[in-house]
Amino acid sequence: MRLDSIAINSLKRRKSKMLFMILGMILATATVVILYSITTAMNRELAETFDEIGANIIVMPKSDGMSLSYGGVSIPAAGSKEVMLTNDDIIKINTIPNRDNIAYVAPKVLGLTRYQGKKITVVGVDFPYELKLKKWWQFWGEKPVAVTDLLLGSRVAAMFNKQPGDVINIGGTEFQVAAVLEEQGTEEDGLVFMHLLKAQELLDKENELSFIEVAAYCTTCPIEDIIADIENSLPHARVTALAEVVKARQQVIDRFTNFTYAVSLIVVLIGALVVMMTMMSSVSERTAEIGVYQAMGYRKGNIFEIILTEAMIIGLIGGTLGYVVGIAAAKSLAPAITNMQLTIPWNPLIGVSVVFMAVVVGVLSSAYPAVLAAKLDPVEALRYI
Amino acid sequence: MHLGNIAVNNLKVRKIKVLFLILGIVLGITTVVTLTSITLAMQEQLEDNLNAVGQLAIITPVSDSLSLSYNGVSVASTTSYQSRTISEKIVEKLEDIAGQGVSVIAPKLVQPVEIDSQKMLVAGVNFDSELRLKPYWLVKGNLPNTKQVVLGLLAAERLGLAAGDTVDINGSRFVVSGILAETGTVEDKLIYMALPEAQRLFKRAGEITFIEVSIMPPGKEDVYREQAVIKQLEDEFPGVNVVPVKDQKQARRDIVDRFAKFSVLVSVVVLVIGGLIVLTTMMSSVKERTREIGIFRAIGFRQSHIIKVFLTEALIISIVGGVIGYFSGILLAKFASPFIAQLDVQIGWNPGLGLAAVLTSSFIGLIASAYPAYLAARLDPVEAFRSL
Amino acid sequence: MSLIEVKNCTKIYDSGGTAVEALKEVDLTIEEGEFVALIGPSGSGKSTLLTMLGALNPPTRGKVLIDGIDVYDLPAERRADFRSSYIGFVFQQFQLIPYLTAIENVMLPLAILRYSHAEQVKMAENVLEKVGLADKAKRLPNQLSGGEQERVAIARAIVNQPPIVFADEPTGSLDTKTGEEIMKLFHTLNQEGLTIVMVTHNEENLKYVKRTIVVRDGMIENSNFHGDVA
Repeated sequence: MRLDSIAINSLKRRKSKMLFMILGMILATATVVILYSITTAMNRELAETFDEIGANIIVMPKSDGMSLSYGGVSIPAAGSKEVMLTNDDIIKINTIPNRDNIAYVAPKVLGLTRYQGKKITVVGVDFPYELKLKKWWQFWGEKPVAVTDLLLGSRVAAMFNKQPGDVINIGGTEFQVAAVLEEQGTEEDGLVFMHLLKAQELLDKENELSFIEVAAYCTTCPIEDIIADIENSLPHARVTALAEVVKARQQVIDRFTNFTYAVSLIVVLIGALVVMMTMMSSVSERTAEIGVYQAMGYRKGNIFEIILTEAMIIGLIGGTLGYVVGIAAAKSLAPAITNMQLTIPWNPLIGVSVVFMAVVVGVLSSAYPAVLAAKLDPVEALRYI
Repeated sequence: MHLGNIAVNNLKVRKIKVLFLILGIVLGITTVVTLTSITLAMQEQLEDNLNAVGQLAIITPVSDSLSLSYNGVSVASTTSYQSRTISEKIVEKLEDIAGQGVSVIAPKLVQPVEIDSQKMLVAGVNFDSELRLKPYWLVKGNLPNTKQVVLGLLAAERLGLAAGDTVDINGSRFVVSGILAETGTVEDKLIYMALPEAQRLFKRAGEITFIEVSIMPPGKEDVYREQAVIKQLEDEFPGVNVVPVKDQKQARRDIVDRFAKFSVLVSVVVLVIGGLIVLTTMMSSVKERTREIGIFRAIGFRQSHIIKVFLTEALIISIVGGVIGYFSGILLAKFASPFIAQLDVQIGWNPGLGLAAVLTSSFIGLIASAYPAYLAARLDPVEAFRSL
Repeated sequence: MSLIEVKNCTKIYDSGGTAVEALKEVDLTIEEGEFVALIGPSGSGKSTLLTMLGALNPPTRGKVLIDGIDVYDLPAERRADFRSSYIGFVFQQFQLIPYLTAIENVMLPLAILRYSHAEQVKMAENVLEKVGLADKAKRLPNQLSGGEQERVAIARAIVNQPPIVFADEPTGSLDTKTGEEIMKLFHTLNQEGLTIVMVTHNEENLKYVKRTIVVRDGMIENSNFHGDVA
């Protein structure tokens, strides 16, 4: 018989004791795993959803000059426009090194045309991406699908008295009003949205883009990196982060990330305390037993070896089960309660660190009462019956 | 001596055991209280951030022409602007109804100018209001005084100016007091000066091009109130168009709503786990005392007597544990919240949460010890003695 | 040189703030091969004396020499080693480890020494044979009767072949017949050369011992040698 077989027999033959200790371990580690995995999944999900709402990067031609408009006051572009954005630039944005972080690319061409003698501004867009980007858009009618489908701003529709389903002839082409945008309170109310290629053809701006809106995920790499990537690919473009969006992200997502860390920290702390309590109460019950070992001539080191071996086994079993139970519980609980498609992966790194933590905390916290008990005179220890 | 004394005496004598029991309950309740209060504070904080500006609306003159620009990119081939403007009187009216809802009023006068033969736009603004509406604005340098301007980043680049330089606008000399950091919008291309200064410079006293206004104060959005305010304004100022702005801010609000659901999840998980901690602690404690129960049975205690002794103990321990758990939970939350960067929301003593914590722990404590106490009480006294 | 020499030992306990003198300047020598009973009323200090002799309970003043070694001069860990090689202890309520079988309990003192598993088993089986429990080696303590548990405790105390065994009321929780058998076992072990010191309350047991020491109020009242009992 060796000291570790004493430990193993102690666990094997005191099943209900061991069950309680392992249960305590499982509770502690499962709490850590459940809350950690749900908060991180939630955080990732929120960050991605956030980044998909509206553009956070805007790409303009560098030589755009000072064509600008503010509050209905417009001034035309000065100078030449020989450098411009083209359809190829969409592909270039989609193939930057950080391409995995690009959520949506929404190119646009702007141009002036006439309808019923009035100047109208046509915006050529890639509808599927445009609609994904502008999740807050609501409209009457059907989603524009065909190349000749139009989406009218509310003021345009009101001015020409058009409704979804009406046919409009612009520049000799028959277009169908697929939908009318709800009043937005922005320039969009006075615009006509059209299929990108059709608009380029109609405005005689083949292959030309006025600006490109980009929605990028900023969780795994900062927005500055993505901007630098796009600038490298498009040297002729000015790439800017939208300060408002960046600020809002900081306020919501970054704070939420910090919250995730805080929750994890607290949970780890409390998990450690639960493990500690379980182990300490178990060892302190064994003071008399420790006295017997001492009387038999066991050194303190021998006694620690027995108790710490037990703690290690409990930590290994409890930690592993806790990890499995925690992930399983998180997987089944999270989507139901958060109403989100959270993907909670089996993360071996977390598994290993949780088990490691359970073992270390378990061993350390049983060491303390063991030291206390071993410090007692054997006669004192034997009194604890 | 009655049964209650037995419970109290046992708790007094077995101090270490009781300490561990209470510790178990304290841990469970602390976890619940800490996470609940942090989550609630976090939720409040997120809502505050998103609602900081409230519901925006844009007040413009009624116009029969359509947009000639998108995202600040103009398609106009000539300089064009609305011939009509809004009377400044509407600002006074807005200030009048400010008490009832309108919180920030940002009137602007926009004027095309030519500087060094370059066409630029000057915006006369009220800087206080702009900064409140646009928390993302960052002016490097100073806000302008009389005869001073702030330049958008691109405007500064185009004119080759830096803070401290001077620029002639419409025959007057202005000092550049600061540069607006890049916003990624048309705001980068403008020249800003104080509204009265612009009105004087361009001889357009009392005229406003458009107004951005937060018609609902933060956190008090109300569709009906909003429509009432809009109607009131439009009735009183014919020729004025008030349109609430719908943009991504709205969509982002959903995120906070999701967070609310998440906080429910966290609380549920934590409550279940706290309950389990209390349960295992109580169960293991009662199991250890099988022999003691044997003694009680041997001297003629009824099962109900034993159960009563145990439940009294459980109740005392749970209440003490619940109260301590509540206090340590709030303290831990207060201690942890600075780690959550810029969490401005104060975590306070929430009596409702405290009551819930104590009730929960007593309930769980009773349930958790009732079952093992019942099992133990049913044991044959002889069996109970053997079990040591 | 005597096997055990107690020199002017005083033991003072702190009992709730008041100092209690459990032993008062005790002098005692015990020779190799003796079988000594410590008797006296409850609280007389006999258990204190026993644990003090057993290198478990340091005196407040005085010396205990065993085989010429000043045991309380040894650091705690060396004293543990000393107990491992010199002393076997039989506790009042057997104090068997509840989760170890009889033979495993007997093997405990060997587990910290350099014996192979086979050697441990052989030694443990030998002593279990000697105490008459060879057939119950695989049982857990709660599957054994009080007398059987006592035998396991004795086997555990002697498996290491220590020169001295201390026993604290070994028959205290046994019926008369079983108590007799245990005393006979001790007697046999003493015949084989083992030095035995035990605390007892039972007058009956005294017929097996060679010497009776009466302890009263922390002092040795008298010490009588008997003739050997057949």
